[in-house]
Amino acid sequence: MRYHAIASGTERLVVVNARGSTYRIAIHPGPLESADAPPRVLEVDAVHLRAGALSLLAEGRSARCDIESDAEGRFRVLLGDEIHTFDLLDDRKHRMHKAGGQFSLEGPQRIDAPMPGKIVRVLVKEGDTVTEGQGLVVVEAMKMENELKSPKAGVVRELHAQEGQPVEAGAKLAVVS
Amino acid sequence: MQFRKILIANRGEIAVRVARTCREMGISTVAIYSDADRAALHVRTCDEAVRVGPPPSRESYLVIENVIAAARTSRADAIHPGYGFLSENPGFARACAEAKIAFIGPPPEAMEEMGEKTRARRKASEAGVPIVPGMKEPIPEGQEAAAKEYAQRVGYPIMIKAAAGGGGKGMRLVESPKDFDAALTTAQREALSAFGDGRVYLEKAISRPRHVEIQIFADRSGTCLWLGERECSVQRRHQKVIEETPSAVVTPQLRAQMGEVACKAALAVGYVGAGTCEFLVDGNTRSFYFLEMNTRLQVEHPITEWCTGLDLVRWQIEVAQGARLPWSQEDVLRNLRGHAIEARLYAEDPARNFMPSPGTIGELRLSAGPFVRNDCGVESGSEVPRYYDPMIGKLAVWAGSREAAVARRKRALSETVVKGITTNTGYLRRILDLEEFRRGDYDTGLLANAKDRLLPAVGKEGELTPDQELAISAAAIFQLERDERVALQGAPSTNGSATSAWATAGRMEALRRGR
Repeated sequence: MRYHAIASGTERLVVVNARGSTYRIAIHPGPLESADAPPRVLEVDAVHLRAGALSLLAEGRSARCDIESDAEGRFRVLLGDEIHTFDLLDDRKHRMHKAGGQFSLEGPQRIDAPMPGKIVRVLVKEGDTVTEGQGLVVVEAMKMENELKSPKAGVVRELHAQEGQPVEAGAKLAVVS
Repeated sequence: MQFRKILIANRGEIAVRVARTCREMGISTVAIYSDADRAALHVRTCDEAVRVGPPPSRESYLVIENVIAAARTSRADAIHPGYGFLSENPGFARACAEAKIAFIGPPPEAMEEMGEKTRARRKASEAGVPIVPGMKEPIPEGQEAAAKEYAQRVGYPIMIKAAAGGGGKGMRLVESPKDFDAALTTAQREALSAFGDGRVYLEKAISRPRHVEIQIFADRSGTCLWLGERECSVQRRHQKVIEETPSAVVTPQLRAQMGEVACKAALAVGYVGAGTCEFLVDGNTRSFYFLEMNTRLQVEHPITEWCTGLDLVRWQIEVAQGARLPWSQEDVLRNLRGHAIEARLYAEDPARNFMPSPGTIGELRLSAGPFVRNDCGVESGSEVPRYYDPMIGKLAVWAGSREAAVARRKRALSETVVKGITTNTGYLRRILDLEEFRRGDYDTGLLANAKDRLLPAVGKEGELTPDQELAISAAAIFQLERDERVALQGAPSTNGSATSAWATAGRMEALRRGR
């Protein structure tokens, strides 16, 4: 089976083959197979402990892995005490991903509430020119104030935040382009 | 007097912690809860539970009348306030007295003397305890401009602190005059939101400072003991992250000196019960300055319990019942041993600027093994509400030496798994790995200065680290299995599918051979 792993902006082709509980995983350095750049190949013995938990034996190492994923192919893998976050897409999802295009810093940037909370301050107005890293909205959650900053320099095209307003996670607060 | 029933006026890990000692002492317990906490662990840990209001703490855990009413309804004869919430509110202690319910904590007068930081510093200064230069009173309303002039006179960097506060809330370091106004506004708002009192004061910030605090304990007969120090310099934005005892800069002589000063300060205000005097210790000269006294049990009390062998909550209850302290200062010195380290488990995402990450904990696995202690307010399946502090637990270990304790802390951390929400476990491990921390040579600036070294490891030039490779492999295996199940069943599988595992395995084998 072929998958496409996207971690910190780099896309890699991942090919998995199974034989019993042993898996051969080839992680290519780029999005395609290439004769110049051979893949990193891992032989992994994997056993499911229960939903979302694997015991792995690989390269002389025994590790327990806890896995969470969503419908968009976003993975959170806990290995040791570190969480690794990346996308793992099959061919179909990968095509959709490419067709849909990701917001890049070139295009309009949407600023969402990262968690439920309350808006305590709105630092900009619609139409304001902002610099990269400039604070836009302050959200209070769990007693701490968190300033949401503009990911790029540009103009505030949309603003959906009012002081005192409660917000849900993922709510669109502003668009900067 | 013997208490039969104690109401625990708190939530989370500290409510669970207090309930444990009560149970050991044969005292029944009453939990209080807001609507957001109906299913919380502390409710299930106690023998009874009473609702005190809607989710926001200002409408529930902070409402004195509701808490007193809960104690009356449940006929509790004492209230343990835990830390935070109403624990340092003299009005609450008075309301308890009026309702003829024992308050497990200091007398309200002592809380008033020490609770407001400016008053505490004046008191300490009068008793000859060295203090950091700063305002003797909170900034009066409308005097913000005068405060800014004061800051200019004392000199930057300057610290803005909440008069009623603690725990880093409403506290801001200001490096230069241009940041003053914004920092003042934020500090006042945070103070108001956290303590219902927006007053703040200014203090000179000290360079290379270490935050070292002394645990004291006093009974009603006027005996006051010090129980050693806690080094709390590992802080992020004035929130403690890792605490240890003993401190690398505290010699036996300095310990005794600070201990005596702390007891003197406590006795000067007629203190009773558990309290903590916070000091700033100059990392180079080792001179120390009194900062404030916390008139409650501290979050980090377990490390003192590790190194003294005491149960501080039991002592709190016994002292509140009128007992004398069973130990002398010599007993303390004889019993102090080894090294303890506590790491605070926060529901926050270090990769996203430490944004709190409330949600449902899918699975929680805690560490075990020799000399490991975990105090948690949650378990597998628990909801971490967005309304309260993101600290969900405290992970503490003990060992004979500092080196062994650091190794044990790391080992225990590697066994700790929290699924469903993001926590700071990786961040904690990276702190323990810092060279400065390993040497014990750090100050309160450690986490800010080491910020870049505390990010997750990344491979160079876009290469994957071995851990990232293994993580991607695991995800690919996981996804392969899932895709095969979908192919077999024609629909996404659900947990607890009735299909025989053997039959599925057989079909999967067949499918693989066919590929």
